[in-house]
Amino acid sequence: MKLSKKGISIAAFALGACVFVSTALADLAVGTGYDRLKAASKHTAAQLVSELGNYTIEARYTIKSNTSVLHELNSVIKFDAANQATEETNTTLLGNGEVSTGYNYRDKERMIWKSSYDEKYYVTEYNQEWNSHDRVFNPFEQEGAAEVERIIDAVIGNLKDQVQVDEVAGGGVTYSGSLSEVQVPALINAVASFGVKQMLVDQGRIVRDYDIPKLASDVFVKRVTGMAVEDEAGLISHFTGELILSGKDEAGNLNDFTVSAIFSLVDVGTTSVTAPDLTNVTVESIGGSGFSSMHEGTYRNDIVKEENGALVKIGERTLIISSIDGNDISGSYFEKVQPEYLDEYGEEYNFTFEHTLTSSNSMNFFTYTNSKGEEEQAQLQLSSPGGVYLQLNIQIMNDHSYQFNDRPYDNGDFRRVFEE
Amino acid sequence: MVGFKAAFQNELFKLVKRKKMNAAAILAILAVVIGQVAVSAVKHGFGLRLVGGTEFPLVVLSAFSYTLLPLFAAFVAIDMFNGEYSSNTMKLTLTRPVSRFGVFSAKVSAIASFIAVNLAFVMVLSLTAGLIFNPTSSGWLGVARVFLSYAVTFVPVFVFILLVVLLANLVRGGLSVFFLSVLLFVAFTFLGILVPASSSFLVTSMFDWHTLWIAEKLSGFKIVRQGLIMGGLGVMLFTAGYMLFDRKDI
Repeated sequence: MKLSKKGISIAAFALGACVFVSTALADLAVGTGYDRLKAASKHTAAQLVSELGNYTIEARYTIKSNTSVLHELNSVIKFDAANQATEETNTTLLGNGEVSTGYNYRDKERMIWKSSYDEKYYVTEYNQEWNSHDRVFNPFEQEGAAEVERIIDAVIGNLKDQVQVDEVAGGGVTYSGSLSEVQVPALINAVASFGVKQMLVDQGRIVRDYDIPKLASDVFVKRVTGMAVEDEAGLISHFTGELILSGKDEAGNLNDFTVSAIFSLVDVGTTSVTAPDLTNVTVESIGGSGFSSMHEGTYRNDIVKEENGALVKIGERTLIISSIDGNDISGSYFEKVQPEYLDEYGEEYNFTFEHTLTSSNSMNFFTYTNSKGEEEQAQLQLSSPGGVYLQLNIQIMNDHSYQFNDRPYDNGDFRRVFEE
Repeated sequence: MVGFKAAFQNELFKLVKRKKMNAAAILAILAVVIGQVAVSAVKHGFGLRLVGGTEFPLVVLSAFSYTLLPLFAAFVAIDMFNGEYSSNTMKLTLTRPVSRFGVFSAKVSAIASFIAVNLAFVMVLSLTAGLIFNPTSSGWLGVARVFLSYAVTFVPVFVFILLVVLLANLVRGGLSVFFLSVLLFVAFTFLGILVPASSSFLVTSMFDWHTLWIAEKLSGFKIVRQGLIMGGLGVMLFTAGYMLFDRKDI
C-alpha cells in the first residue's frame, strides 16, 4: 500500500510531537542538580530559622595570594532558639601574622562582648526584651528574594546542569560543580573580578606592615568550584566554595588570588549556649546608647553670632553630666549670655535633668523645664570622642517623627571641657 | 525530489541578490566592533580582563544568537514566503517542474544556509578580533571550542526559524508575521525566566545550548535530551509548515 502524501506528513508530525513532548517531560522530571541544591538550601534555611532548636555553625573565610594567607576568619556561632541566645567566637588571622579574637554573647536581656585588644568584658543590658529571632532570618523569605532568585536563575541559564549530583550510600547527597574561565559568564566574571579587586584594596588598608600584591590589570575569574553535602535529614550540613582570580600586578607578574568559604552545620540538637562567667573578670557596663562613666564631665558650646562681618561670641552653654549609672544619666544645663545680647537672645535656660537611655528606641527623649516653667523635650547623643549632641526644644509629631526647634545660634555640638 | 537542486540554487541566488544581505553583514561587523571596544574599554578602564582571545567569540555568540541572528533569519524567512506571495513571484517558482515539497525544502534549506553562513562570518570576524586584541594562550583547543559552539548554535536558531516559516504560511501579511515572531520570541524568553519549569518546552531557552557542549564535565544526557527536544520540535514545525504550504492556493 502506498502511503498518501498527507498520510506521511501526519505521521511525521505525530512522530515529531511524540519525541518533543516525551523528552521535554522527561527533561522536566529529571530537573537539574542546581534545582535540587536550591530546594535543599531553602529547606535548610527554613529549618534553621524555625524548626531546629539549637545548632552550631562553623565558618571559615580565607583570602589567599598564590599560597600565602592574606586574611583568614574562623567563626563559630552557636544558636539556641529555646533560650533565644547566641554565642559567637571568632579568630582573625592577617597576612602580617597578627591574630585577633572576638567574643560575643547575646540573650534576651543582655549582650556581652570582648575583643583581644583588652581584657575587659563589655556588657549592655536591654531595657526591653530583645527577640533573638530578629537576628536569625531566612534569606529566601526576605522582601525581593523571589525576584533576585529569578534573575540569578536567568543569568545561570544552562550552567544549571554543571551541578553534579551524587547519591551517597546510606542516605544523603553530594552536590559538586566547577566552572573554568571559558564557562564563567562575562557578567559574573566582571562583577566578581571587580568585587575582589576592591576587596583587596580595602584589605591593604586594614593590614599594615604587610605588602599585599595588587591586581592592576587583566583581572579575570580563572575557576569557580563548589561542593555541598546534604545529610539524611535533607539539611545542607557542609558547604565549600572557592573562587580563583588571576591578574597581573603593577610589575606584570601573574598572581592568583583565592577566595574561599567553608560552612559546616554541626551539633544539631546538642548545642548549648551558656553565658560567660563574669565573676572574676573586669566588666564594663555600657548603656545601649554607648554612654559609660567615662562620659561624666562638663561639656561646653559657644554661642557665636555673625555681626558686621565678624564672628562674636555672645555667650556659652554648659552641660554637666554629673552621673552615669548604666542607662541612667543625670546632670544639669545652663546658658550664660552677655547682658547686651540678652534682649535679642531671650531667656536663658537653666535646668537639671534625669534621663533613662534606651538602646532600641531612636525616639529617646528626656523632659526638662524651660525658663518659663514649661516642660519641653530634649535628646542627648554621643558624637565623636569628647563630644555630645544635645538637641533642646524637640517637638514630637507622632510615634515615629519629631522636629527640631533649635535655640538661637545653636548647633547642638558640645565639647568636653578638660581640666588643665 | 525532482529538481530540488535547481530550486535550491534558485533560492540561494535570490537570497544573495537581496539588500538585506549587506545590512546583515554590516550589522554583524558593527556588533563585533562594538563588543571589542567595550571589552577593551573595561580592560583599560577597570583593569579587568572580561574575555580572553578565544572567549571573546563566545561572548559575541551569546549576544548575537539572541538578537541579530534570529532577527535577520526571520526577515529572510518572511521574504521567502510572504514576500513572494505578495509580489506574486511565488507562481513563477511553483510553475517550474519541481514538486511543492521540493520548493518548500529548497526555501528552508536556503534559510538554513543563511543562518550557517551568518554564524560562520561572525565566528571568523570575532575570532580574528579576539586573537588580535586579547591575545591569550588558549591555543587550538580554544579555537576548537569556538568552532563547536558556533556550529551547535545553528540548531536552536534554525528550529526557531522553522516556527517563523510556519507563521509565514499561516498568516498572510509579512509585517504581521514579523511582529508575531518577535512577540513570540520575547514571550518565550520571559516565560523561560518567570517559569523555569517551562524552559524544557521552549526553544529560546536552548539558545545557549553551546554552554553544555563546552562544559568541563560533559553532561551527555542533557545534550541528548535537548537535542531530541529540538529535533522533535523541528520535525513538527517543518511538517506543519509544509502541510500549510502544500494546501495554499496561489
